[in-house]
This record gives sequence, structure tokens and C-alpha cells, in this order.
Amino acid sequence: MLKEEEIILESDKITAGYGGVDVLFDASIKIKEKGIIAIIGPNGAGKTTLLRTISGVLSPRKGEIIFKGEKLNGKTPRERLALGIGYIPQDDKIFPKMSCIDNLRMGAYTLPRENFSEMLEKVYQLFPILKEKRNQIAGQLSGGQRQMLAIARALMVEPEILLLDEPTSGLQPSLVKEVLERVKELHYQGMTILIVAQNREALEIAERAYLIRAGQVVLEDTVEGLLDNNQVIKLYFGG
Amino acid sequence: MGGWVVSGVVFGSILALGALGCSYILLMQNYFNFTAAPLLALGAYIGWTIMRVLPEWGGLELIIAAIVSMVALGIIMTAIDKVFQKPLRERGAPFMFYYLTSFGLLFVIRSAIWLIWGPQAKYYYPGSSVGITAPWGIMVKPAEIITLILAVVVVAVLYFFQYHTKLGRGMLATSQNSMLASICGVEPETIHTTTTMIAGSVTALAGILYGLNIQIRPLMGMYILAGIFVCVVCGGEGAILGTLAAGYLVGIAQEVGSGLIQIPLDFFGISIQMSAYKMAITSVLFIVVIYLKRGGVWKGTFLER
Repeated sequence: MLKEEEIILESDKITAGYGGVDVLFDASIKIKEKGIIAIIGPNGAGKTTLLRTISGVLSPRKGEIIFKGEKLNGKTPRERLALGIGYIPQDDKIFPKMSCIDNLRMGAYTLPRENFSEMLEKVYQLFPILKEKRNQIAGQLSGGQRQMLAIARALMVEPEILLLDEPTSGLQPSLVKEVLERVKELHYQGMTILIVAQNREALEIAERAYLIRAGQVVLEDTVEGLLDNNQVIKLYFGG
Repeated sequence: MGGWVVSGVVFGSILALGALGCSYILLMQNYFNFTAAPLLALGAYIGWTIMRVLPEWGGLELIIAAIVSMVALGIIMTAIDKVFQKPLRERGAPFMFYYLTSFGLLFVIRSAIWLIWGPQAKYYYPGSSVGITAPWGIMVKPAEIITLILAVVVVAVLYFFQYHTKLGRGMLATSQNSMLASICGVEPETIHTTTTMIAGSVTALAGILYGLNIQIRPLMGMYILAGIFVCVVCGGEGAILGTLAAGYLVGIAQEVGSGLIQIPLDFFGISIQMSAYKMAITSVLFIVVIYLKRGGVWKGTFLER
């Protein structure tokens, strides 16, 4: 059980959806400060909807999102970003017609101008390739580079918690490893991570995981516990 | 020939300003703003009304009228957006709803103009047509010089704003991916308000310059709507310099094209005045451009989407 003071983010019985259709039903999760939590589940289960609700892109119909003891309901994505919640969506995670540097400028949109250079150097240290490609149009980058650009873009404001929606989706195995290494690095630096994992490698970097099925949180366990659960591994990661 | 080119560039400058207003709406809200036509006329009429109130101050009255008209039309266009388009955005309505709303408003605003100012043509400076003789014997009117300079200045200012300011980048980001832009901290409503204010202001300026060079009529915007549409498509979404170049292209094609076709018509004694068919030349140009270069003339056009 998590202690109350350890919890940085909590979704309390969230119901959310699109148009007239609910996708997520009474979903509750808790994330420990500086922890790394994975969400797994089949396609269409509501994983992305949960992340969108936390980031403020989508408003919940019921339930509450609490971040560091403060209710987030009604707050805009900009306000949540200012509180320290960074979000990297699964698709369309970069501005394809902008250069890499302009993508990073967008990441720093809410920052004072004088802080930009300092933050840029920090993300270049983490992703040196982006310095080389800074004037390249983002749409021309490889899949792995796009993902790194998306992470770097989110890091420009130094969020306290990073929401990553399937960051290794569509990447070749060597790049999957590289991206996950960077995520682990961020975690070691003290960032709280919530990652939607669609493969075993992504799940393995987490400490705990939630299984969402048909819009409901059906299981919560340590990653070791889930990896020992043959039924879950077979169903969601193909054995 | 030189005179035709000058007239074409002047007319093209007006088209480009009108097209920039439409481009901004298309870029941010994904629909072609038909109300640009009556709003262009409304901008001209607001300017004309202000000038009637002010005494003659050697041209200063025109500057004041233009500024008031640009601000007023920016506010009117923003109000229209908040009342009619914002509810559609919030509902995630299909794009056709935006077109239908815009098309309906076209008739409402046009009728209101007709009702308030009547159908008679009006002039900012009635009877003033004194020109300056430029090199190669080309006659240039002061209004034409003002138009050429203003169009270049406005385009330069908008270019700087778009690519070198935070808000301008926020607009470009929102046009590419509005959800990601909001995740980055861009406030969508701020962007929409900025967009409509800019669009309204440049549309008003286009109206005033049209009125200054030609005349003010309730249907003045309708006459150049096709030209504006061609400039938007050829010039490109957010391609500010491309829109100005497209304006010049369309303006010169209309003036030079109609002038050249008139020569054989006059020679064979065919009593057709090509000046009345300039819009046909624009339409042909549009078809040729679409056929030959489906992606538009400049990179980054709507057609590349």
C-alpha cells in the first residue's frame, strides 16, 4: 500500500469519453513520487483516454484528478503544465512542418525567453542527436529521432511527472532499447514517470503496473508480479 | 503595357491583403471564410463614415479612418467568431457547418451594408485622379503608391510576427496540431482571437485600399472574392510571402491578360469590353494552376495537406 504522503498523482474514479460514448469507467490509479508506473491493456481499453484526462486535453465526466493534493478538474493543459505535468501523446507527438529547434521552442512556450538557452543545453546533453539535427524539419526525422524530439520537447519545462503514451510504438528493437534507456535515465534523475507500455521491455522498466481492460482498472501489481502472471503476459505481450 | 503591370500589381496588393485575412482563418480554423467579401466592404464603409466625420487634414484623416476601421473590423470578426464559430468548435462540428455558417453570414452582412449605406458608389476623395508620371511614361496615382507600400509593409510585419514571435509560433503550432499545441501551453482561444483580429484588420485595410483606388460599393468584396480565393490557394496556408506573390500574379494576369485580349477584339471591331471579364481570366488562371501544379505554386500550400 502507498502512503498518502508518497502519492504525487491520483485519478479517483475517473469516467471519461468522447462525444456521447464513455471509454473509461471509474478508473482509479495512484502514482508514487519519483516512481515509475506502467499501464498495460489491449487496444481501445482506455489507456490513452486516462493520460489525456490527466493532462487536461480531455475533461472527465466523473471523478477527480489530484496532483500533489490539488484537484486538477477544470484546469487547462497549460495550467497543468505549469504545475509540472508533461505529456507525450502516442501519435502526432511533434510539429512535423517545424524544425527541431522550433519544436523545442514550442516545448518551452510557457518558459521565460531567458531560460530557453539553458534548457536547450540540458536537453541537448540528453539527446545530442537533436543538436546535430536542430535545423532539420521534424517531419523528416526517423521514428526514433521523432520520439527523442517529443521527449526533449516535454522536458523543456522540466516537468515533475512525465506521461508517456506508448513511446516505443512503431520503433525497431534497437531504438526501443535506446528510448527506454532515456526514460530510465529520467527516472534516475528523480522524475516521476507514467508510461503506457505495449511491450514487455517497456513494462520491465516500471516498478508497478495497472492493467486496464474495457475501460476499467482490473489489476494492480508490482511488475515482477505481473511478469510472473503467465495469463497476462500471454494475453498482452504474446508470451 | 507598363501601366497594365502597375495596375496589376496594385490590384494584386489589394487581393493579397484580402487573401491573407482568409488564409489566417483557413490556417487556424480550416474553412474558407466567405464573409471576407462583405467584411471587406464593411471595412471600406466604416473608413468612409469616419472620414465624413473628420475634417480634411491633408491625408491624416484617411490614416485615422483606416486605423479605426481595422480595429473595428478586427473586433467585429472576433465577435462573429465567438458567437457563430466557437460553438461549432466546442461541439467538434463537421467542417461543412463552418462553411454554411460563413455562407449564411455573407448574405446577412451584405444586406446590412446595403441597408445602412445604400447601393450608390462612394469615394474617399471624390474627383481626385491626379497622377504622377513615373519612368517610361507610366502614370501612377498617389493611391496606387500608398497601396503598394502598405501591402509590402503589412506583409513584412505579419511575416515577422508569424515566424519570430512566440504568439506567431503558437499560431503555426495550433494549425499543425492543436492538441499538441495545447499540451505545450498554447491557449487555443487566445490563438483564435489573435487570428480573427489580424484577419479582420487586414481585410479592412484591403477594403479601404480598394475603395481608395476604385470605389466603395456594397458588392465590392464579391467582385474580388474569386481573386482572393485563387491567391489563398496559390499563395498557401501561412505562406505570407507566397500570398503576396500570388496577389501580384493574379493582378498582373488580370490586367495584362484583359488588355492583350482587348487588342484583337478592337482590331476586328468586336464590341466586348474585356475589363468586364477580368474575373474570367482569374478563373482560367486558377484552373491552369490547379491542373499544372496540383500542390499549389508555392511550398506549404493548402493543397499539400
